[in-house]
Amino acid sequence: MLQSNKDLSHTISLHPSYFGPNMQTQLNDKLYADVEGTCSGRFGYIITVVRVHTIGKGKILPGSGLAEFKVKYQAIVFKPFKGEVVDAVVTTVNKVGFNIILMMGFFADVGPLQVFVSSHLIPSDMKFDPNGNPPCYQSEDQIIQKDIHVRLKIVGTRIDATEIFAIGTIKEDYLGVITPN
Amino acid sequence: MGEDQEPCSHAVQYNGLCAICGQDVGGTGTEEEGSRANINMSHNVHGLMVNRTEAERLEKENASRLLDTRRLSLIVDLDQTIIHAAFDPTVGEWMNDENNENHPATKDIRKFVLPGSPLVYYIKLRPKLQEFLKEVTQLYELHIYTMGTRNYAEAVAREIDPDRTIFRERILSRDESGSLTQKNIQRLFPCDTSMVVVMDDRSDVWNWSPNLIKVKPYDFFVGIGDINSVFLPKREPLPQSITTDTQPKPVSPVQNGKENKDEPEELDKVDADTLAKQQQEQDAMVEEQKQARPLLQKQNEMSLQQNQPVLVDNDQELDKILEILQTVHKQFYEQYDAALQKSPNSRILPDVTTLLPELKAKVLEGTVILFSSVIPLGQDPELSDIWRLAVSFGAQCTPELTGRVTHVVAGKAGTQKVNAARKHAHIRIVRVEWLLDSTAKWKCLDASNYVLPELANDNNGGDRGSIDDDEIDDPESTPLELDDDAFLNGDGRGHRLSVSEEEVFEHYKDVDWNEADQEVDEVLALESGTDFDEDDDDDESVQSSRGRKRTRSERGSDVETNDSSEDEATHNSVRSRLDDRLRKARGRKSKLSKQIKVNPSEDTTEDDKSTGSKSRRTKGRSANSSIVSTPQRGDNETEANDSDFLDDLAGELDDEIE
Repeated sequence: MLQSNKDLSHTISLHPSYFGPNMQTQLNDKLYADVEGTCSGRFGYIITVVRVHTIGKGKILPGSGLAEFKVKYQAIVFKPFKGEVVDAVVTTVNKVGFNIILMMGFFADVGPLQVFVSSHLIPSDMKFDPNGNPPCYQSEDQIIQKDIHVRLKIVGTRIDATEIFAIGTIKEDYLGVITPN
Repeated sequence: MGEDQEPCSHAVQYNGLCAICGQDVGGTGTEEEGSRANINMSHNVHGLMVNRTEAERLEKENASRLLDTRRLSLIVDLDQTIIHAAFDPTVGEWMNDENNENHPATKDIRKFVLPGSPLVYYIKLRPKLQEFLKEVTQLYELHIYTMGTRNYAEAVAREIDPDRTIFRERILSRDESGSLTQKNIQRLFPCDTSMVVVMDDRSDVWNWSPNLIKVKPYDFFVGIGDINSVFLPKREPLPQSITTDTQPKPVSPVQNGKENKDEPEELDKVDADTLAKQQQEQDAMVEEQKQARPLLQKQNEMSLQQNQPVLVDNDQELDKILEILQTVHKQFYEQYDAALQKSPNSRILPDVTTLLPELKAKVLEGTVILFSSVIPLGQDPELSDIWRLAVSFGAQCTPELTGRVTHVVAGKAGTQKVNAARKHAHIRIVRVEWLLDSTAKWKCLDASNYVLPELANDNNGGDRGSIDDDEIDDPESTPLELDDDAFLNGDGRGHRLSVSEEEVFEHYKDVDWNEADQEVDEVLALESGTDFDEDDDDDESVQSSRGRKRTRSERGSDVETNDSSEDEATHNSVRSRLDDRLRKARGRKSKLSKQIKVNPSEDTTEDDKSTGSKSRRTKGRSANSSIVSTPQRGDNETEANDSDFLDDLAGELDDEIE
């Protein structure tokens, strides 16, 4: 599943100074701060918290005085899978700049995920044009440069504890530059 | 995707992912797979690696692209090559003060600050830089390679190339360089450097690469040097002949202090915490520059003498470099066209790494140079910067005055070699500048502009350095003192006899004492080795009189070590074989001394007539000497063989040592 609502849980430690009438908001804020934008190997990127289901009873930790709350919440998560077709925005044709890198391919962002599309996986009729400003990949009717939207298929992912790397291809039917309407 | 076809070679990898088939090949992959893509070719993207074949393919593509546009690659250094930077706030004051004598020269100084630091950088572009870059981009694709930080490099690039058409993003800084002390073409062009020209003011950091065009350092802010130099190895001071300065310029005390402070730290470059140290050092330097204001001091010093500005903007280097670059480019493509005409399909390309040295070698072709008072005493002359410089420009260098010598490059007049050379009319005696200027201009300059003034009629102090004060006034008296040839060492230091005490001291400072110590140690080791061996023989004879049986097992072990060392020795040179034996001889000695120590106690504490105690003792001994001993059950035959072998070995050893 590319993006889905997922029921997750998170344990929040709260400092005693927050114990009081606003504790509920504090807990919510802390939840957002803790989990949104993070990436875990199991669920992928946590895009946003949709709703908080339950906040468990606080348990004071001996020694420190912090209270632990187990929070159950629903979030939109994003985990790329091999074979998935996604829309992306080209980022680093310009940023990388160096011709050799460009000859190697380009980078594109799918939300928080950065996908690398190697020149091996770009249709051979798209030629790298180093003299364009900015440098770009170009065929007769298409041009790939920064900020262009492309539709690509993910051919492989590598999931670290905190990061996901992905390789994409546009060398298949119905992939490549798309015009946003 | 081609997963069902031939296996992917994983030629391009992005953070451990094969960028072609998408397979995870990082870390957990087999060693072979992991080592496949190991070249980081990009300027600034981490995590993207290619293997050698892919790198070659990319480079070939890049090369054919360059060939199509008839260009070459040019790697440009920033500091002191095309710009000069300083932190000295005096610069800012001079820029704002229109009445200051330095104001006219500050016209095109740019200033900027880097994010996260209040420090103001003042950079002065080398004169005619813009024209230079404009011309050069027609012929070359430019890359920046600097030892400054990424932020600094980008800030400078913004100043010299505001619309980013010249360098684009081809900037490699210290942050990505991978080495803190060396610059390496392979970092950008891993396989093929045949179309790369490098332009830098330091040849040592490039390890005298054949692609390098050395530029005279741009020294606009006098006495400031390279602000990023703490990240490079200490610059070997180029001999500046005493006649350099047309106006006497007292070296500012600040500068001196800085140099001395840097020295000890510069020596141990390889430390793990070097970077932090260097950063501190740079910070210290920055602070010092801000506080001490070397420029202001210099101006004050100079104003006392005459009302001359410190900042003089008369550098002409870039014109010359442009000419050289144009020549290289022209030659390259002439050769390329010629090769293409001969066989249109040949992909044999001309090579900058042969072209450039060839061009260089023509400059001083036919000159034979003798250095006098130029290379510091105690340094191997052939490794000194100036020697290598002269040789790379086609000159022959010689340590002795011979009939073939055409030029004597002298640091000062009155040296023995200079005086001897004066007797030969055909030998030109010139100042160091002749060589430096000739190599900078790539033209064998007329030596008559650089004639070394003779001591006798040379009375204007500017042409003579302070060290001359202690010199003997009459140069003719020098050779008399120098009849003793023992003082004429390889680099012709005969004249050193006439130098002052402090100069001698200064030159001995340069002697590598570690090396000297090592040499002494080596000699001692050799001697002691022979001693050991003699001892050994003596001991053995004593022992054999006491009965061979007792040492048999030990010999067995010895023989085994001999055998193994013989095996090794076949792979090694004779020299290391000798070393091996010496080491062994020493080992034997130590064993024996142990034995001697051990024996009395054992003899007194227990009767060692039983074979059990003997074997135990020998076991202990061989364990002591950490040699795997052969089993002690050797019979008489092997014993005889052993002793024969040992005798042979001893004879051989003696021969070799003698």
